[in-house]
Amino acid sequence: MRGTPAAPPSLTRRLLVPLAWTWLIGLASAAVGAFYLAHDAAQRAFDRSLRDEASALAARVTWSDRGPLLDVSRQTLELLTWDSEDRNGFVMVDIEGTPLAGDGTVPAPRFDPASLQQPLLFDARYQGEPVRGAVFSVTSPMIDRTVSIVVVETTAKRAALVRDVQLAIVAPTVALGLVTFALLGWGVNRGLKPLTRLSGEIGLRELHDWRPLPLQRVPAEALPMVERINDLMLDVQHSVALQRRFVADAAHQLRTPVAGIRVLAQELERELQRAGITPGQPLLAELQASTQRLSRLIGQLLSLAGSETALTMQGEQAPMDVVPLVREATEPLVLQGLRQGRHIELEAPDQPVVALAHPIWLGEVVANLLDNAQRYGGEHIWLRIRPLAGGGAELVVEDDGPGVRPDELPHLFEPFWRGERADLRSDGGTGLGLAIASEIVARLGGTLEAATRPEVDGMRFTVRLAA
Amino acid sequence: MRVLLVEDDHALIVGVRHALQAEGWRVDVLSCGEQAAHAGLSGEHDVAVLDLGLPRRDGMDVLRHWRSRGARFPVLMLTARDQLADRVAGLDAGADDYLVKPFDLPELLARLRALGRRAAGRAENMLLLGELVLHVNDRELRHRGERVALSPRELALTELLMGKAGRVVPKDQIVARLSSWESDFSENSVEVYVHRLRKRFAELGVVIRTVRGFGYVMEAADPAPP
Repeated sequence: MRGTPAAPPSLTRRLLVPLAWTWLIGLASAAVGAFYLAHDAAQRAFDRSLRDEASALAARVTWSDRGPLLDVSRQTLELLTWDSEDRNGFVMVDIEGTPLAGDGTVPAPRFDPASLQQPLLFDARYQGEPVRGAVFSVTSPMIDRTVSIVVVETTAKRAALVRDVQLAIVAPTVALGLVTFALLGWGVNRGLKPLTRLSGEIGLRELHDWRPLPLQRVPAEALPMVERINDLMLDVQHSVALQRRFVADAAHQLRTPVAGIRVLAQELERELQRAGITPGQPLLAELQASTQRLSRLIGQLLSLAGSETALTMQGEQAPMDVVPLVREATEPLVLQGLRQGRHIELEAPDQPVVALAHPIWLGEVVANLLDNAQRYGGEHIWLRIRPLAGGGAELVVEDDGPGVRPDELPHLFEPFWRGERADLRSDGGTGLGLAIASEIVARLGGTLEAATRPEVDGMRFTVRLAA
Repeated sequence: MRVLLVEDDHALIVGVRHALQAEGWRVDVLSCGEQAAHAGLSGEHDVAVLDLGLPRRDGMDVLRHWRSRGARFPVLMLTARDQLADRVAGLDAGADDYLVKPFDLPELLARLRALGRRAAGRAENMLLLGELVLHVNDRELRHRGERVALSPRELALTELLMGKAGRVVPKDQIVARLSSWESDFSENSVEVYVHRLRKRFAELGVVIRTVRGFGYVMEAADPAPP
């Protein structure tokens, strides 16, 4: 695979993002439209009543000798200046803007003759707040005097109305959008669910699970892909089965002739002994050793090939108590070692130690490690089994032999690597035991580590198996 | 002893037949499973060596045929497949022992000898190990015909170990067997008894080895070469 992009494009995103834009643009235009519409309507409605107030007040202006008088009852005044939300005010000014009656702080615009015909509207500030005002001027029919009536009110009510109207238009749009998105998202997810389930299932699988994927409820669009994957899985299964059979057949075909050679060589030696020819013939000894090595090598190669195929299929390893397994697998080697005068001990708890393992192949691992220790290690060999804190098991094979040089550690598990003993083939080793052990442990999903002097007093192999 | 050798590899036939004849045994060789299935029912053989991979009729099939027709003679199975499943299937089908190819000739001979003796012993309910003979019915242990005096508990332990001679007997199995004699029989008591028996058997050519972490194994002091 080439460099993967930061995040692969998601189908859900691709479907929902254009829709989201459409919705957002619609929402924005609705909001703007609503603002102008509401603002305009509110302005018109409130301006009319403001004008009416100004005209009504102007109608109350009476003319006396001393000048204009505003004949307003207290009730009317209160009605004018009192409002639940808006602050109102009024003033009567003369043509120079000098207040004659009312609230002197109410802002009065410069006199405009047009205000004699009809009330004029203006914007100003009153007590630190923006206000809308109306001015209406009246002229005395008798004396030549003109006064203007100014009425102002703060804009809280208008703003509230604008807000209400905006809300009434925008809120349903937002709600509709949200519902649409929820439904769309749900629909898309539902449509993609079979694929999600499929990839979830693939993700949960073990590395070597080659069973076909279930086809039910896979959408028609994805069916060819899933079927192709299943074909590939079947191919893998098939070739694993084929390789397995090949290994089993090869085992038979190779082992039988080697068994023949071995039996013949051994019988030849006995025959020579019976004929009175001294035992320990160098030629025969060499022949025996060669056949023995050949048998071992074939056994190990088959084991290596076998382990590669055996653990390829999922479901062949299972959680099990590894203690009896280790006992059974190592018993022959341990007895053999004891007869040769070695000290071999197994330390295991009385309780079961459960880990993910396979009865044959874990046995093969421990047997190979023990065989290695008996071949190259010291006089004392310890096998230790203990449960791991988070579940799983730890198997240790340790000896008090010379160990290896630290720089040789990384090569220990390479097939046919035999360190400095490469020229010394008389130990009967094949150079495959540790490679086999490491291969199997990896396939069991565990780890195999080696440690040597000075870290430990000899050589130590540690197998850790998952729970 | 008359041995039925069922094998199809020529080199193996020549070598094994030669070795068996040198032991003074009579050997009948068959290479075909079909013939072997009939020959095994003649009742003329004391023991059979049966290869699992045979032409025409599988060795396992031959073995089942023998056992289903009541042939009780011991059968040593030869297999080139060391898969546990194959071994278990073979033992389930009625094999008494098995060897994985390639095997050592002395080992084959030793096992055949043991099978032959065990078959003879089974008839009289005897256990044999080296020069020791345990008459199970009479509860008597004899060494070269002479009676070896043992307490009932020592005898029970000997029987258990001899019954599995050459194989490890786990400590807890011994405790389970002997605790019927004494209610509070502990693992420490096992050591006491093993120690006693070990001293008794030291001069009789039999050893009891302690396999730490495994159990105990009883075998001839000079066992067949590995």
